[in-house]
Amino acid sequence: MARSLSPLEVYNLLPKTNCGKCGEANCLSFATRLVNLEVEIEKCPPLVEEVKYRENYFKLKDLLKPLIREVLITRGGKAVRIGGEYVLYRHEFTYRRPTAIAIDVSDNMTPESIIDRVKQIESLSYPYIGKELKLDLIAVRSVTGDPESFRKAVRVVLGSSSLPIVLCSLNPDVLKAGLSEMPGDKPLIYAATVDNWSQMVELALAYDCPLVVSAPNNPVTLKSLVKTLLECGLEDLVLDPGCMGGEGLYDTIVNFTMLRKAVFRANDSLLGFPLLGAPISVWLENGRALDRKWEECYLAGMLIVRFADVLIIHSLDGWVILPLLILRDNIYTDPRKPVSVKPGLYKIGTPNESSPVMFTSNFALTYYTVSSDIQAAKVDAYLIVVDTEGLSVTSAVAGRKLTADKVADAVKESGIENLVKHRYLIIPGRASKLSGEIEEATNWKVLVGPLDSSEISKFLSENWYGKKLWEAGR
Amino acid sequence: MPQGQVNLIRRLFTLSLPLPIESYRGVIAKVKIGATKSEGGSRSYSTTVGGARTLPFYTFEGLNPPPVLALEVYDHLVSPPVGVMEAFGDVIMDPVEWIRVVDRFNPDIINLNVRSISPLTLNRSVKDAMHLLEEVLQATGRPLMITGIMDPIHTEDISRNTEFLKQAAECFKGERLLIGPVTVEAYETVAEAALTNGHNLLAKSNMDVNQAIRLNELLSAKGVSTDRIVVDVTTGALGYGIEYTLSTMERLRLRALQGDRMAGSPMIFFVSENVFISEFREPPLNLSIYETAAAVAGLMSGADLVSLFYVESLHMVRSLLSEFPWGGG
Ligand code: SF4
Repeated sequence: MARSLSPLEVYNLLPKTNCGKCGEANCLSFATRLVNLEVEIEKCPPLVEEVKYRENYFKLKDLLKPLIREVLITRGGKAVRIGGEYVLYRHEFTYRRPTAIAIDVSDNMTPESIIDRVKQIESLSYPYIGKELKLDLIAVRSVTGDPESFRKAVRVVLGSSSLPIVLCSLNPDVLKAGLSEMPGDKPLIYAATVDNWSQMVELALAYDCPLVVSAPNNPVTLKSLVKTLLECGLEDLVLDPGCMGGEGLYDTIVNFTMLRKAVFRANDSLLGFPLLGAPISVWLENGRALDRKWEECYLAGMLIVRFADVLIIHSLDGWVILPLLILRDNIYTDPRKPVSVKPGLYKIGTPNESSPVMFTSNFALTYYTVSSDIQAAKVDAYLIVVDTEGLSVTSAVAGRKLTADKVADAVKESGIENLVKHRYLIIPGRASKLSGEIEEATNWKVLVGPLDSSEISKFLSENWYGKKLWEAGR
Repeated sequence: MPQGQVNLIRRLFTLSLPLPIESYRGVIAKVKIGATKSEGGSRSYSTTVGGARTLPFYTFEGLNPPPVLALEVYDHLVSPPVGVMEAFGDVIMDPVEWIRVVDRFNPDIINLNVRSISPLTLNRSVKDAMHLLEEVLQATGRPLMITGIMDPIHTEDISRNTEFLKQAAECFKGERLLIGPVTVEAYETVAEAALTNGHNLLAKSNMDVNQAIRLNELLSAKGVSTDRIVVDVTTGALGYGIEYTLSTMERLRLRALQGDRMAGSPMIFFVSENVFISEFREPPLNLSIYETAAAVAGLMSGADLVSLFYVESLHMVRSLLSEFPWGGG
């Protein structure tokens, strides 16, 4: 679907009966939601069920298809979706399927060390604005070249983890040993090359799995391979244009950029598949492990920004992975909506009439940080979330999205006046500049809280519980 | 179940791949920072920010000049974040010493933030701040960026910031500093002072393409051309709303390349301050790699000038940039 698609174009292909079965008031509003990818076309029953609309249904399906094919890597009930993108630049719409991150294990490792590593991969998780940042895939690599060793390694991984899998070898016999261990699943097969493609096609067809097409630093060959594999009847392809650090960094970034731009600006649909990057390749170079980790981190970071849909990484240290998971989360945030929580009154713990009252912004990250710090401090409090249009306190103050009047309105609407017997409002340290104005607008006495919410506990014990301010009443 | 229709293909197809090259009408202005003795200043060299002709790292479309890297120094750090004391030691208590340390790591320019002039914090006097600047110009021969209160909102802050920048412009006439921030609310006095005394301006707007363009229009009406302005649309760092900044920079850059001249000033990306005040503070974080990751994202979104805090980040960013070909702009 081109992003210039208008709701009207879509509307013209809908039944136009305004029957309401989709849950929308009329066909036009359903069309608008379709264009925004908020609903699936199948939610319009007449279109799917009635023969007379069949042709339009297929037309619409085609019209709404992403230019980058969505590919599923599945295992049991779990599916990792990659691709499915509609735009080149994030601001044109939104990026949709966050870059999936795979961590490798290899078939020369002992079963114990495989299990250890797999457990580490699975348990890595960071709480972040109400979600858990996690890794997505395990890439089992053949380094022995021996099908039986590969089979054993795959078995160990399957037995110790539920994550979907990437199977990596250029030897079709090795891959077959792994594939035969996981019937019913769809691991991603890595990879078909100019040398092995015809056997790889057979495997991908026989096991019905998505296949990576690899042509390191050779986009022309990559495209030729894609064409060939499509002609063979494959549909779920992933492209590996090669990934190198150091002197190869330049080619790597150029290839990723060029391939994606060719799809969106030169209509090269043969290249409309997810892109795979393997920053793990930096480990082929010599030198200190620490340098390799730095390099792997920034290479992966560049590729997250520049169009990679799946990455294979070796480092498992938190300081390498965490920046990548946050960057990925940020880049794949829908730019059309600020990451925010609902403004209003939030109770932390079981506050009563003498509990402290604070406010913060409705930027999700700020809210979750502040509320978790209050919880960690084990105090009961009222937290008023002011609508700052999803900006942090600092940005909101700077951008006039947080003003004394807004605070006053929020205080009034929260009904807090009837819940506490005091009139003290603790404001964020980063809004200290507004303290005078807030006192005036709210008629509450302002206490300027700490700059950093991790100091809330200390602040409250000194300034609230220490002074027992609430006892003074109003 | 096999996918699609199965055909018997025995030979590889051979196709060609036409390069998806877009050509742009606009060019990003070049802002020269720092004046040498022969140019009427005292810097040992000058450096140029800007001159891009295409999006960053789209080298198949054309070569942009290399981005400029700044290290930053603060005259006052409220509470030094974890790792900062370990990284710099006591020198962070003395901006002049700190600048001497930073100078040794070869940043293209040094950004001195004189934040303590805020009447709402330390309330350092402008006169006192000028003494500091004098010492700083002695301590380093590198081109300088001098910033005051980064988010001047209150009237006291706005007027103090204006006073500080005006004085700096006058006291260091001819040094071709980059001074700021100026905002839509307060730009006239500083713009005049910068023009008269030969400096460049840091024009700050909040993550908003149109506001950035509007401010450039206002400044150009005052006689400050786009090659005298560095635009700052930074708000938030990695984990802290960086995505809005990145998209704003990308949009602004596209506007400029498509020919909107008022969008055509080079852009700065501030990473570090936000990195270390970040509300995200999980233990495994290594702040310099975190800063590097954020800087890389900024560079890929069009930043022409990146202001960094950690020496390791400077080193890392510089070494990765050295892997790319650059043009003269
Ligand atoms: S279900 Fe289909 S036909 Fe009925 S209102 Fe919705 S879009 Fe229109």
